[in-house]
Amino acid sequence: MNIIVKNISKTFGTFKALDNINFELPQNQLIALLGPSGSGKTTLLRIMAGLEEPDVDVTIKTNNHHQQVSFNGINILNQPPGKRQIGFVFQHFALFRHMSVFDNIAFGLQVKPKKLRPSKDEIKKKVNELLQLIKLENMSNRYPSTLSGGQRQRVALARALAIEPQILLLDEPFGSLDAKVRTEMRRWLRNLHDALKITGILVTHDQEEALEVADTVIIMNQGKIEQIGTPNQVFHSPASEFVMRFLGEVNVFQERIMVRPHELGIHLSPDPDPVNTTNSLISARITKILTAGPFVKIELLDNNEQLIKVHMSHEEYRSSNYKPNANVYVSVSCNLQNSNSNSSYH
Amino acid sequence: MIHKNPPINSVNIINVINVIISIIAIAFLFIFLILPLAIILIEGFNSGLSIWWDSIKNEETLSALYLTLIVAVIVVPINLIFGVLVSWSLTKFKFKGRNLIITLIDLPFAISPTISGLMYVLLFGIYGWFGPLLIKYNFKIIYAIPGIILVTLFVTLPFIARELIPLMTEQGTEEELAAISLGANGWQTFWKITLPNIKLGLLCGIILCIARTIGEFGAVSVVSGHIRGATNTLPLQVEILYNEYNFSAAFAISSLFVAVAILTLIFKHIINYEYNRKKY
Repeated sequence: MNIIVKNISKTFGTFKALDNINFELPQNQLIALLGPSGSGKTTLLRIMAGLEEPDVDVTIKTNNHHQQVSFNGINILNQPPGKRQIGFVFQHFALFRHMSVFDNIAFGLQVKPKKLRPSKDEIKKKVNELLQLIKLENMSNRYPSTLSGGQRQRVALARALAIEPQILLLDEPFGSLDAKVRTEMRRWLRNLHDALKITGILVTHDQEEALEVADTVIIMNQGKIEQIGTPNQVFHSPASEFVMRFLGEVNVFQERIMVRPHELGIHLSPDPDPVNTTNSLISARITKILTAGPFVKIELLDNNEQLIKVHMSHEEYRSSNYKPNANVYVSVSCNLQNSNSNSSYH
Repeated sequence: MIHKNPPINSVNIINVINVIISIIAIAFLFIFLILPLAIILIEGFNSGLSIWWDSIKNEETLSALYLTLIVAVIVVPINLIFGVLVSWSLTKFKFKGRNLIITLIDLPFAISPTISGLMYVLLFGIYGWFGPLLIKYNFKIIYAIPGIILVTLFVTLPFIARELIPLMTEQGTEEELAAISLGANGWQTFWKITLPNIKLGLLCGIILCIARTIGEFGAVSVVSGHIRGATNTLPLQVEILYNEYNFSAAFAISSLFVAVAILTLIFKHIINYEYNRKKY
């Protein structure tokens, strides 16, 4: 039982938003679609939800399994959005402004055809359960405009969950929340997912968010998938230069060797580590030291006036004697390079 | 000597200017808006209640009142349906020529009502484009009630759409999409989401549309033919009475219009207040 997306493309005018997207992933995961704005991630999500139609390729029209969006082995591409059993959480929540929190959550149940619609009591019970789940039990009569951003987010989620979807799609779910609420909501969503075991796909442009919350990360760029993998895989073995650059700061040496700032070390003398004699040292001058933060950021300029960024722990910084304008030597720290040969993209 | 005067406080000057400007603005409003309104009421009741009542219950006046109400009962619902449909399709869907249509909706506002009436005479009059056809089937539009209804429809066409288009543009389509993703069909989405969201704007448009329908003079005057007791609407009746130097009757009927105007403004105020209170 997998999620399958096959041969999905989308063009807006002359702009190719999605260029032949294909992937297959196991269910019950939390998947992050990560990429810069304009990379096509939201378009892909909306196509999965049925809010957008993919381009129809006339040459492959005869074989209707050629193009798919499938959950549980059922191709839902030709089904209307309401029949796809998808819960969609909109970027700005799209709560029904003229309805109370209760009516918002109950909406999906109340619009069901008469034969399938639960009774009033059943709807009430279900909504109350969801209100409990999102911890807003005493707010059922409030209107969306009187709620905080985080509360609206949770109502939007409960509303999507009310129809018991097979899959939950979230478009930039934390984008419009402030930083503190965002980290809380991130953790809350992860816990919710672990409790409900529901497949979730969330769109984000924040690499930290994707790496922290997701089981699998799909990195997109210019309408194409750059890499699919666990947060560990994509961070430590990036498949392309784009992924390497997108997931964190990098230093580029000789126009092709990319090293992350925390993988570099600084030496006061050109006396290289005996274990690591093959490593060339770069002589550079410290221009800036930033100590405010979880780690120390040091900026240097090499002989070609090229910027080098080095991150190190406060401990390491305190034990040394780095000063601005000091001439030092930069190397790739040996233990990192040995233990994790894929740590940089060449 | 001037040096010995106390320095003039610049804040005081600004305050004085503020007060003067405010007085001018309020005086202007009073002379041009409130005074004429008050005079109509005063003149209408000047000769006493019994004469006011006699003028109202005059047979021709009652017939004009009846015709005006009939026109309103037909025109307002048609404009309501048209206005909602047009605003809905123009704001929820993107297509070529959309902006052109939005501009075209304002056409009746841009044309003098008299010209609007003439256009319909040219179309449906005896010598108009459809004249021969209408004579053949013995159906009268010009100088008859259908003509009055048609021109009133034309003149009041923009009112509801003009209220709704900015409102619906601002609200966007996200809520509708959310409803559809939750399984609602098109009909449910319209009745449960779109309509409640535009409710107050719609009411506002309806009220303005009613006020204009009842009060329209120019276009109706061209197509009505002024047949007493048959094709005279209330505004035309006021003109006839006035031209016959029957001032007390003319002002009596005018007082009805003033009442409608005041009610319209009160409703509009309440709606605006509700809108700001609910903020949705």
